[in-house]
Amino acid sequence: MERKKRHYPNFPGVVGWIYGGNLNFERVLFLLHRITGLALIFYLFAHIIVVGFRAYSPQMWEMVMGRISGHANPVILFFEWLLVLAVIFHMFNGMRLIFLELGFFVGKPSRPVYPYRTSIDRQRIFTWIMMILASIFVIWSIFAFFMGGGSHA
Amino acid sequence: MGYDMGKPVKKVKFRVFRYDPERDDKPHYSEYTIEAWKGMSVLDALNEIKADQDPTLSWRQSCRMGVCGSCAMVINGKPALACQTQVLKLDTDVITIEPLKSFPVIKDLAPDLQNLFRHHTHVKPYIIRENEEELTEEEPTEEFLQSPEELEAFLQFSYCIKCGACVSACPVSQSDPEFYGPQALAQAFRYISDTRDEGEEIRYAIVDNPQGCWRCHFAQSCTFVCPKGVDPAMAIQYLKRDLVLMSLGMKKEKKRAQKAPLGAPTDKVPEKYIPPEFTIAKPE
Ligand code: HEM
Ligand code: SF4
Ligand code: SF4
Ligand code: FES
Repeated sequence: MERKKRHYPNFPGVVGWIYGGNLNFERVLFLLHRITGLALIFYLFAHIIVVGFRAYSPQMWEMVMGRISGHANPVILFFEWLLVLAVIFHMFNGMRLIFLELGFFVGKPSRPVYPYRTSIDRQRIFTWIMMILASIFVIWSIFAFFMGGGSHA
Repeated sequence: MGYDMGKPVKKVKFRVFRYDPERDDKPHYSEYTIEAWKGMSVLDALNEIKADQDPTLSWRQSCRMGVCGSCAMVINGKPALACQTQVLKLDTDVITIEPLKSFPVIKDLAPDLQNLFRHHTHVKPYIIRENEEELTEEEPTEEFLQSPEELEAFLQFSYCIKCGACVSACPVSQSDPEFYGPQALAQAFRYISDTRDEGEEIRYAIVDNPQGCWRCHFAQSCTFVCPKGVDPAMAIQYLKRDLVLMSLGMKKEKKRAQKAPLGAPTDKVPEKYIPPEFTIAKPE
């Protein structure tokens, strides 16, 4: 039987962002940056809708906030905290990307002598510094949210 | 068989992606067990499997020494050259081998790389001169001078063997085949950085678009997998930097290679163009 030959497409598509294979740490940061960026946009819309209730009446606003603010509901408090984590990560990784994508800390072209040194090795330390700074803010957020250390209490 | 280069060290199972365009609608995996010896590359292993166990297995190879760029495939999840990957160094009992991602599969491990070369040719990967006749002169009378530093500015990128590993690893190429991809963008920068080239304005205009260097999100997977140390991620970020500087009017004008009469005696050549003396360490 005659059968038309065809290529198998083999395009990972969006799955490739999530599972790239046995690949590098910076790719995980890329994925997290994309997820947190999209989460922030999603939150922005939700935020506009919720804050929009103010336009109706003070009572309406009080009622809505009474139901869905973190003061009222520990589950929502937890999600608010996740949002803060997303902001912290997106901000520090975003600053990292701004520097690196403008060619800072990636090093200069050099003679390709084995074992090759690449921009991955050169920018790692900067990446770790940014991630450590982000972690400090994360620790602060745990105090502020769950231990009564911040204005939230 | 002629495989006694090293003694068998251990048994290794190969899980190999199979797709036969004449028979299969979906790919499947075949398993083969072989005795791995010290020094055995994944390419050697595939050749043993083809010789002894399954003659229908297909892939592409040529130089078997990391020069031609034919044998890139996904080995245990990482795109790599089969001929440069040591079976024992992978240090796993099961080795999974798949064709490069983001390229259509012709058969088994052989990808169709047309998209790679389409993007590659699009960035004009060759020296462009304002006076085109310079490139076609039958009997040239002048040559270009390039200092060692000027050579180093692009040498690393010129090591690219067009294997496609970087494109296979890039998350952007994986979801957008129209993205020029790390290979082509690195080559754009390779020629832009070459002092002999006068085509940088043309090339900047080509890469300055949403499918060009701005589509790159700096996941650096391209650099992570490149078997030749080309570092496409670095090249692409320099393209972005140059374009930003140009839009601010802050980009320095590119240096052009000087010319000298062909075969001029070295005492006529400015000192910085004379390469450091070449010495070979003598054995004690
Ligand atoms: C705190 C300040 C922020 C900084 C420094 C920052 C930085 C960045 C940078 C540099 C990128 C480009 C990354 C790349 O090349 O892939 C980016 C992407 C993005 N950002 Fe932000 N950002 C910030 C706040 C926000 C906010 C508030 C939102 C949402 C409303 C947001 C949503 C996004 C989205 C959706 C993307 C695209 C992600 C992708 O393509 O993978 N960012 N951000
Ligand atoms: S840049 Fe490296 S990985 Fe990409 S095609 Fe060239 S040699 Fe292969
Ligand atoms: S650095 Fe850019 S081109 Fe390289 S893998 Fe990441 S997104 Fe792709
Ligand atoms: S066979 Fe030429 S690069 Fe592997």
